[in-house]
Amino acid sequence: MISYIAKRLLGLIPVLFVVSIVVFLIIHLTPGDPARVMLGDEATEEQVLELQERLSLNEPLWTQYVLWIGRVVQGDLGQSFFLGTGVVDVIGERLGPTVTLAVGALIVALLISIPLGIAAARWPGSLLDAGALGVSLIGMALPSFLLGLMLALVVGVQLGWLPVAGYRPLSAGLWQHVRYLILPTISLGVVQAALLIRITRASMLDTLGMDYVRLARAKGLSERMIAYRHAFRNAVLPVMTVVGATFGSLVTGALVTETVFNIPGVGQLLVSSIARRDYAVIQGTILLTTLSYVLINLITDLLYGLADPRVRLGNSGAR
Amino acid sequence: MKRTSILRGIGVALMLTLAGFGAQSVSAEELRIAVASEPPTMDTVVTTQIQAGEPMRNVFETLLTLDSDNNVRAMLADTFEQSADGLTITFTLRKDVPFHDGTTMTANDVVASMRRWSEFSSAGQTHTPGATWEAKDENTVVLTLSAPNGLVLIDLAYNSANLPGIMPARIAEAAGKEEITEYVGTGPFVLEAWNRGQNLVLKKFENYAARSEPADGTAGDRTPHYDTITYHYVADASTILLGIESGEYDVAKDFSFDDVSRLKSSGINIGVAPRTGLLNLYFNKAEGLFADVRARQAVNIGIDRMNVLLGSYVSEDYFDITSDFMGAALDAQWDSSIGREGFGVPDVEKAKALLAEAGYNGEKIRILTSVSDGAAYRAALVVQEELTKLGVDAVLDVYDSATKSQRRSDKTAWELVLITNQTKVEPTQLTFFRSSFPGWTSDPKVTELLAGLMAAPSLDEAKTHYDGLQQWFVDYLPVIKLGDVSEVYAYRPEVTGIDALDPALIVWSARPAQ
Repeated sequence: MISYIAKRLLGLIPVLFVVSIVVFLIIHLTPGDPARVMLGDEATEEQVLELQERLSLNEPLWTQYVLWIGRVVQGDLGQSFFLGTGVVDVIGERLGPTVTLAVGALIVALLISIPLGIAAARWPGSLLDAGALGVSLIGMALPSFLLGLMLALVVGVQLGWLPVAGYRPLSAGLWQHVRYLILPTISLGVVQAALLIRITRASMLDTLGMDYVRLARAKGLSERMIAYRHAFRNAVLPVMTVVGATFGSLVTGALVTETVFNIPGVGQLLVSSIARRDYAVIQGTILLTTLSYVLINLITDLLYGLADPRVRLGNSGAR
Repeated sequence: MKRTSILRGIGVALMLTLAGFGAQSVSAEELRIAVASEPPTMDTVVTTQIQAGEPMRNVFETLLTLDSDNNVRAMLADTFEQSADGLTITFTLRKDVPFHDGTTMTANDVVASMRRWSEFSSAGQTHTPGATWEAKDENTVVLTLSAPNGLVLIDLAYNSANLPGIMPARIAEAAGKEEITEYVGTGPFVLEAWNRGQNLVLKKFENYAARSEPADGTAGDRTPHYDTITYHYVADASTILLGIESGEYDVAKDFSFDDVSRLKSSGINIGVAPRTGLLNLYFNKAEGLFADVRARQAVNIGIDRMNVLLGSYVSEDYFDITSDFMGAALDAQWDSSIGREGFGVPDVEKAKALLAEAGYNGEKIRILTSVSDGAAYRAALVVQEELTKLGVDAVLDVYDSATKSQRRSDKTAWELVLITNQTKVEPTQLTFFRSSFPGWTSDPKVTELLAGLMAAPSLDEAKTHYDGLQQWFVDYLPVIKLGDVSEVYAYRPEVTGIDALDPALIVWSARPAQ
């Protein structure tokens, strides 16, 4: 197990190296100049040149890359041109809202998808099954920002029940913290639930047709017990894969949802940094999100073993 | 049955909870303002962005300021006097004015702040080159200019972008060219927190020393009514709209003119700032067709300005069509009848003839624009149509804002670009006069005219040079001013007293409606 984890972590190094080069080149070769963005439309050429000099933007590209990557390997992702602080600190500040939103959205997605997926599989072809598939289809077709705007319009503006935008940290009080997150988590969670419903249903259908389920029925176990206690545990692996990938994409920034609900998370940071060409922040954010994506996948792989001893990693007997 | 009852109970409880803690209502404690963009710094010496000047004029006050008619008034100065030769200005300071850190403002603080502004800010370098600031005594400061300058008073009074705020000497001296690390002023609000990417929180300054004159523009009494002002940075325009409609924000800016009617029908008030915007069509005069003045004249008389402005600003409530390059908002200071006759009446045939004379033979004319330019982008769409009517093969080159900004400085990348400039308090600051600014105006005559204007020993004498400059503008056409435009802002019915000048909001006068 430990050697497996070590091997996977070592494999990260070339991935991050390649990502660093690709991101650096893409962002630096994209037209646009942070100095001009910072100084505004009416700045003089002299001011622009002076700022470019101060920000080392006139150095050759490879020099800029070597300087940056040299700092990165020492754990310093550089300074934000616009925010005036270190990229690690900036991302650290933004990670809280993003992780909270991701966890909330995942909980919503699981609460919707697991019961619906299992129920659809237990009564295939029923009205409930058709309903679950319909919900899934609509969820997959609906972009989360559109659902978010619709929720904000109805629940926020028309009914006035919940705030339509913003974020309050936990220090502002639990209820304040939660109420600002309800609409974004629902809009993200419902969309994520769509795929999970289908995966849960398909996986459960496969499992419910197996011999041991028939045996369980013959033993006289209740259908509910069979579905939740026996079948679901075996059907959970494909669901976990999708949950892992979903969580990865949520943690790396629900870009549009964060922008629509004005949540100061990693996604919103990335969008605004790209718009103003804040190179260090873009590069740092993408490097860290790559890292977290790979780590989440690793954790998902390790969790397989907990759910199913047959795939316990590093255990040669079981593999 | 039992489970159904429990679920129903939970549902009712949830609804009641949500309703009870629903959208916040406007309170006397906090005014929440939604704006789209956040500046890179709040130090108004370092940045020229109005997004910094707007909130920071609540924190920092200046020696002089402007009233609602853009007349120069004293703020931290008690009195001020310019010598007859225009070279020396003496400021007598108000006494017992406290800073937010508890110290009292002295002449040394003013000198340190103003030296930093003169030396390092863009406006200071332009308007007070080689000037010296000296403390004559505890309450008197003397500005000595290197050459007569009739415009310096109005430049010092400009209370928006690059405003010369007074701060304790220790902060100004420690910062020098770099960004200040403490925001300590004498203004009606103290900067409580700047949560980057989220909001800027200002708290009422309990010991604020207000002027005794009634509030007028940015002059007079600035005693605040709200305990807290929070500027929320909201990038998405639809979120701004939903936010003010739902009561999450009390005041909003940076939404589209198309949304005004929707907001009005939701019971939201719309405020119209003075016509300080100049929607200018810039020509690339360095290369291509528009290096020829006849081609510029053709566009000037061929374009129907009303079509362009209705397409971008939706209603005549938000724009005027006037001939003065300084715009309608500054008619009290800068007004000229030159070019007024027959202005704005399109003549397509004459325009076509002028284009032919300029040698136009059907080449593509690129209009550089960006969707994020808002009204200027929509104006670009109509300008393209208007040019097509003149037989010009006009195409739109649309980029994101940062790319457009870079391409604009490339002489080979465009022929036309639309910019909504904010008018300045005096002509020399307008960008289209600069030879290095995109558009590349190059005429020794204008340099001479601007020098004459600046060298006038007083503002009244400087104004007498304006006709000459307007005549040059009409003849040379560095840009075409399509219209004088306003910014709009929205405020909920629970708020009153909010105002705008230059075109930033004035929020110290805002108060809860009775």
